[in-house]
Amino acid sequence: MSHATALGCSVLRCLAVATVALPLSAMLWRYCFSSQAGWRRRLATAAAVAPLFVPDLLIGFTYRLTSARLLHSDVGTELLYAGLLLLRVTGLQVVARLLLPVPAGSLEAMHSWRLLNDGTRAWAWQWVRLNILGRYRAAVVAWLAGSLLCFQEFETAALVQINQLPVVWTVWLFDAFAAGEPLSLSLQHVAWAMGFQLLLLSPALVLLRAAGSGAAGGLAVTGAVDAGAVGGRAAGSGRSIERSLSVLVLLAVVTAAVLIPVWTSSGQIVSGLALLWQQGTLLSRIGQVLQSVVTSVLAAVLALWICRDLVGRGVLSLLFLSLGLCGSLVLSLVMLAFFQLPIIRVVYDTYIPMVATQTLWLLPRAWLLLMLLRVLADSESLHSAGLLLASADAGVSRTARVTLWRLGRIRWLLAVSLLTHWSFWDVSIVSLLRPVQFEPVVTRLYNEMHYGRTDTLIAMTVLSVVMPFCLALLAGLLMYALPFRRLGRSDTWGETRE
Amino acid sequence: MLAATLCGLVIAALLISKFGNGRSDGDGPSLVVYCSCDAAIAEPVIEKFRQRTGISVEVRFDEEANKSLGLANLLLAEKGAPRCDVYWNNQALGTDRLRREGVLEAYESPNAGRIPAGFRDADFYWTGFSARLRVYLLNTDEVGKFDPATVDVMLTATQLDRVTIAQPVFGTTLSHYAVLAAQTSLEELQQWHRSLQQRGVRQVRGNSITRDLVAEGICDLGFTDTDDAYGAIDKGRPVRMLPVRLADGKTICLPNTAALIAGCPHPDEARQFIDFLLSENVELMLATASARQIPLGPVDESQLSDEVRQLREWSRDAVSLRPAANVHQQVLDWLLSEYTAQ
Repeated sequence: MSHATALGCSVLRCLAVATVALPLSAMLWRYCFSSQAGWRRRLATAAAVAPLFVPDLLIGFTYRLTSARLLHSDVGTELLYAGLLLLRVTGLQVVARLLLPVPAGSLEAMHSWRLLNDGTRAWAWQWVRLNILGRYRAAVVAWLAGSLLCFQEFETAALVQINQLPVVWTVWLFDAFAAGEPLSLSLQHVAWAMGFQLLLLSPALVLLRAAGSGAAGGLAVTGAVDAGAVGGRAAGSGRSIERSLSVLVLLAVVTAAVLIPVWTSSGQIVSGLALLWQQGTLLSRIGQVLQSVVTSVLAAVLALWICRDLVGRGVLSLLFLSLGLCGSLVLSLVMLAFFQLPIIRVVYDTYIPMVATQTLWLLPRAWLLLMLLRVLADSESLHSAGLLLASADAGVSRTARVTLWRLGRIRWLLAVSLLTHWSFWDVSIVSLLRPVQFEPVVTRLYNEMHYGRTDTLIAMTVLSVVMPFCLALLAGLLMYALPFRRLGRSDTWGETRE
Repeated sequence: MLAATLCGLVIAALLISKFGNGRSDGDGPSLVVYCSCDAAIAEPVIEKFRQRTGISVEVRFDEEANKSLGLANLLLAEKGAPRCDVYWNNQALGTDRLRREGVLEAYESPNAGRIPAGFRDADFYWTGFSARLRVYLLNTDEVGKFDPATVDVMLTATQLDRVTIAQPVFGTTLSHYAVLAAQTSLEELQQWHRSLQQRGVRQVRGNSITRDLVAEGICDLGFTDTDDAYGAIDKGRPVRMLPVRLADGKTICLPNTAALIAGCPHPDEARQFIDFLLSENVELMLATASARQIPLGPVDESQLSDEVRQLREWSRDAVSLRPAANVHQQVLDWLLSEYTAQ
């Protein structure tokens, strides 16, 4: 199979999956928004977003035998892989929709523009532009982000692949390199994939930037939830059908992405933890997870920090983002060669090559997240809450505090958590660039998986999922406890609030 | 806020790297080992070496995700200024590739003499120890007889959709292919491979998945290694294994290898470690571990289990790997074109 075939299949798959995920994520997002009870809303949101935080390793490991059982059906294998991607992409699209204020253009503005129809091409162009920048902006951004995530996937494909199906460009590239393809040729192959990813990324950046400067672009960024977009679209009997369907989809998502992996491993969680305890390695494994979390958080924070400074630097930002779009394998190989240069070799066996490469790899994703957060940082809600914080009324002040926490810090935390999660579970970079004294937990997991030590594998996977989650919760509480006034500027990382 | 966060993270990373793994011991002698062997099996051996010599060992393990791609490539990339002292590989042919690339330095260990000549490089760039065998794994619920004739019948069937093999681009399946090419010719190997594909053999991305497919009854027969096979046998799965035998009745025995890295930072400690790996004690340790690796040199037979004695019998018929080493690159080049259409 040629590189062009692999790339073509990957492009078609990612576009198809992102498209199928779009109505699902829209439905789930509406369900999350329209749920009256707070606990139900939180539960629904957590369920919709959960697949995004389930490690690829666990998903691939759980479903690799399912894929094998489908060995008589090429379509079945492909559908299984696409389905697994769909879970994650839907989660990402829900996150994108939750983060983006909806929609930017009011219905009244659109109606007014429709009344001004003079039949010219200029009017039509502006009509399309208003729709994309306004009503459909969240959908377009979510679709583009989902496509990007789907296109870059490697681990699940490698684990469920049988008879070279599903055909995935990242796996093709790995195999070619493993079989001795020179790095220069791999880079040529990657160039096509990068081009496609830039094609996906550019409109998302334009849309997000336009949304961030909505007033200048002639669109009012209200931050208010449009009734038509959230609840009105599914009115009357349609609403109850949609709600029921949403619940069904949520159940299916949670079952496939969380319950089945947990259920199939449940018997081994306790025995695996007991085994680690008996071997006296439980504490060192916990230390291993903590080490991996710290380096991953460092890369995530650095990526966001660099992206902040890259905004507005056209060619430079494009160069940095391009590096991240190579994919972790090729990027690692390039960086490995780079850090062998005599002038820089002195830092080779340190954390610097690993963290630097993780940071570069995260940059495109960090950029997208930063753009989303910038949109939010300019919203009036944050500004109002900031003003209300000074209220003499303790109740009002507390509400403002909660609002600032929810709309500001918690979103930053979610962004850092997401980037940390991606960095934590990527195996290519750490396997090639880590310092010799550091063994990340993810490489150990792959080592355990190879020899079928499922007890310890599952126990360590549980530690690797639960501990970062607990740390994120702790960070969330800490961020709530820290005073807001002193940290007001940091909430938006240097963004100027009007 | 950001500066404080970054400073905190950097300090935390430094502290954890200093105290987190509990291995760095500061001023004492030290050694860096790259190890493709299973971590759970190699760690007790390395720990024993630490206890005996007081030499601190930093180990870098390989992982399935890389199919031994990582360490070999790392060694090639680091050739100009290596940080690794000893490469403990679990595939001799992969090590031999590094010899050809000039990554290794010859070292004739005093213990190398106990290893049969067929399992070591002629110029002592690497020496083999504790091996695995290529085996057929059969599902006992699906297959009635467990003899070579049954396997032959299964492999000559018109449909092989219940037979599985790992993709030969990596790992021991690649070594298996190289042995076949050396035994016959590259053309015959290509014909055999295409015949398998045409008859619908199931190709997966590793021996562990091959094992799982047979253990779960999804396939009846799989090509794998002894250590993977024991992974299923120890879990009580309905499987049995038979050695893969070539046309002349030879088996395919793939040893671990110990190799000294050219220009390594700690050559004296590295030689001590290689001597240790090639000792009878280590071969016995690996033979009694869950992977049941086969001692290649003379050992106290009374300490071996019946299973390992059986494997040792099979390994006595092993084919020499030297001809396979000569065609290894040709096979890899062909597989590159086969799998990537280049």
